[in-house]
Amino acid sequence: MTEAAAQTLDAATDEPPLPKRSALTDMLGELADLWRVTLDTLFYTFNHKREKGAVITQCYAIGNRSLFFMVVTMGFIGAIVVYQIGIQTARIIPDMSLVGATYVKLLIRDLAASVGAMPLATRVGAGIAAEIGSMVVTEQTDALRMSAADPVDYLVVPRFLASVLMGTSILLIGGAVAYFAGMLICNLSFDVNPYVYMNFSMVTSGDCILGFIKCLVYGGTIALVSSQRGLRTFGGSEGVGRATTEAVVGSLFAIITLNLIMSTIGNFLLPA
Amino acid sequence: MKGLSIEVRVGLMILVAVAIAVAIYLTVGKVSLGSGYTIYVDFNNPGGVQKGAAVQVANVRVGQVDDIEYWGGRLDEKTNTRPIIRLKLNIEKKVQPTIHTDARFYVAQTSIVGESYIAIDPGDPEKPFLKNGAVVRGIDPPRMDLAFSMAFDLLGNINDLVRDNREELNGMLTSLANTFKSVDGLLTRNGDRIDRMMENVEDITVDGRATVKDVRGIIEGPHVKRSIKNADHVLDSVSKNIDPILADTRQITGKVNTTLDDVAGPSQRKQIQKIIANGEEITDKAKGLVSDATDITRRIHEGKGTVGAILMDEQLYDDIQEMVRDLKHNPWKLFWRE
Repeated sequence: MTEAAAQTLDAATDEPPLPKRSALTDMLGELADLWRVTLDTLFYTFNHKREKGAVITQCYAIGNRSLFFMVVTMGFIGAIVVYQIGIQTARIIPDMSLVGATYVKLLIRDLAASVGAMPLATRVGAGIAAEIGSMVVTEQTDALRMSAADPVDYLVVPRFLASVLMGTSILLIGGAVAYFAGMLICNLSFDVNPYVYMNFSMVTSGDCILGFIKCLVYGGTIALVSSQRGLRTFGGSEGVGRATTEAVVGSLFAIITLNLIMSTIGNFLLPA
Repeated sequence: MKGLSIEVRVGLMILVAVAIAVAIYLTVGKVSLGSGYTIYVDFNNPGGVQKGAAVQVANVRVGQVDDIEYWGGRLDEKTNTRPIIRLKLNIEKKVQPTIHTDARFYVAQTSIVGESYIAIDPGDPEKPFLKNGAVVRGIDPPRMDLAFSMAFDLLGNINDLVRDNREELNGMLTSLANTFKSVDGLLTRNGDRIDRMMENVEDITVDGRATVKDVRGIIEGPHVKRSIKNADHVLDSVSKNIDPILADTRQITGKVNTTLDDVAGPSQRKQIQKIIANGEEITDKAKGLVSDATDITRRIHEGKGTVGAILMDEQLYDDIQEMVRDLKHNPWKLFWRE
């Protein structure tokens, strides 16, 4: 394509060129928008009535439809982690009696929530961003605004509530699957008795509380980040694709960042 | 599942998650559904025991450590003790009748690198059981940190010793090596002899074993058993009768003392002592007389002196006999000299 032809194509485009902004400004703008969506979501969660069945429908979409994917993924992750722990333990002290005890502590305190939230973000986050993004590019959200309905209240809040509830549930189930997959691998690969493996003596109440809080936070975070990306969609189907990708990347980034923050605070308030 | 509504499916999934959460809470939170009772155990240093650690009897979990209190040697007026660390144990009520007042509480570990827990040795079943709220003294675990510290000091001393006496140690090791070399040569040169010695030792061992067997046979034989039985019987009889015999003996001794007191009063005893002293004097004199007589007899035997000459000189005897015979035949010679 010649330069002249390119100029002709640019001239034919109706949309004005985007203003040039720095990466830092972009990031701060995104964070401010995310903060606004979060506050709006929390406000509408406690101040408006939901449409009947809206939350349940989202629960089914987010929870039940992700169950098979999460169970398989967490099963494999649990098996792999325990297998690697076993191999490394055998190199240091060939005593496998505490593999189960250490693994379950790690799983409850961090792995079940943080590792489980990542596949959940890819499955749920992408879905939420694509749904809301499609509505945005097809101007359905504008129609909502014209009907005096805030898209955050109408679209984001049900997904947020469903994601908190079902995200926590599915992460708990995923953690249990990872634990039993690890037990199976431990028994088959290292001949560890299941009763020896099922040792919860190293796990404290603090581990449980921290793990549970992480499940709740990750569930809400995935919904909020993905919804915010969806609401910021522009540029047709290409924009929906971009919003979906950004939702997944943003959710994973948020999960890892929040994991660092919560683990650090947790080490002070709920020591391992 | 296909006939179920969305609400039921979502509900089921939440139910499963809640069940998992409850199971974890009950297992991890170590929540006992049964009732428990409390025992306080004092330690100077309970090692790595943490709040929530298990309490076990014979490796069976019967409770947990509810609290770890730092007393720092303050006086507990109830028990009049000065605990440093006091552990509050929550133990299942059903175990209470099996944990007695002499039960021992000590800190154990699930493995070398495992979690610390409180192990209970239940004690004597004849003793009463520990009541709710009882305070007992625990057995402190060995201080590995102190052991390592002492080992570190020891290694430092060994290092100093080696560094300061390097030459002496070298000489010692050289001497030791030479000694080993000599011993090796000795063993090589006298291998056959040593083999024979070992065979002899083995033979002696076999003989000794046979001897021991024989001796054991004798000891375990009927004769020895009978003897032991008889000895037992005698001892038994003696032990049965020893008390009356001793009583009689004491009685007799008392009577003898009384009699002696009656027969010989203080004045008589003085006379007896005087008589004994005189007797001793007489004995000494008699000894002197006997000595003189012995001396005289010896001189007579030797023919010394008049009597000795008369008795021991045969010529004189013959002369006297001749003289007597002559006087018998010639009595006048007594009055008339030729």
